[in-house]
Amino acid sequence: MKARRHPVRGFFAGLFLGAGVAWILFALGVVPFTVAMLGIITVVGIVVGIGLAYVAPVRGSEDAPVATT
Amino acid sequence: MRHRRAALGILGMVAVALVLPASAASAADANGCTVAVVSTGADGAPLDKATAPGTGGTQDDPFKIDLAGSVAYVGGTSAVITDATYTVTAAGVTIKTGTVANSDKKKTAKGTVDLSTVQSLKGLLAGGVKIPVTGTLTGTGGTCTVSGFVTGVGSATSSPLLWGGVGSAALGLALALWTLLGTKAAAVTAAAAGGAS
Repeated sequence: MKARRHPVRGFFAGLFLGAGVAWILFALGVVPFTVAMLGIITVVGIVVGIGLAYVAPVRGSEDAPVATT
Repeated sequence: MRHRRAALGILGMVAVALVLPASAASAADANGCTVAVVSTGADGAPLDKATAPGTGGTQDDPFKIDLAGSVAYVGGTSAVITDATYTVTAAGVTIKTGTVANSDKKKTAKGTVDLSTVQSLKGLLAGGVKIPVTGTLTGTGGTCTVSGFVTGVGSATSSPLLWGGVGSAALGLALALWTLLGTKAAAVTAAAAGGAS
């Protein structure tokens, strides 16, 4: 058995989450708005998203065991 | 163990990203010149003032502007600068460039900028957004550099940036949840036939 992971989903999760968090931080004035900072936070989000895909705990099997007679 | 190390690495990157802003320039500054600015709102009422070097226009106390209003400025250079080019950057991006001949060889200048002509910041300058702005004048005789922070008028909830961010973060969280829930054990043959999605 092998874990089926989803790094591409993780990439997009991190992309949207990173960019969203960046925009929220800019709007609230927590960090100054610069293009570089937007890039840094988004890239961190992408790394976190892809990392999440690889460290996520493996849940139940998606393939039912085949009965043999 | 390997996963733990990867998680620690990710946390380290997040920490570095959050510490970076604190080390960024946090005060209005001017080299080779002095500038005093007063902003007015759309109704013509005074809004804020700042001087560089001096008070106002810092990261903690950014210079408040209304994109429907204007900014009056008075400035002077340490030396006569002629045949100069000027560059204005906001958020690290160049938003305006031009040339100044200064054939009269003046060391002072004053005027008013109608902010409705500066459309590049529209939609960004609302709520508590703090944008670093830098102006540079370089020519024969010297260089003048002024930097500081500007912010807009209105509450944070009036900022499209905030609601765009909330929407994007919500989508990201949903995708993250899908990623977590989709991580399942699969037969080796099925994994070989499938692939990552």
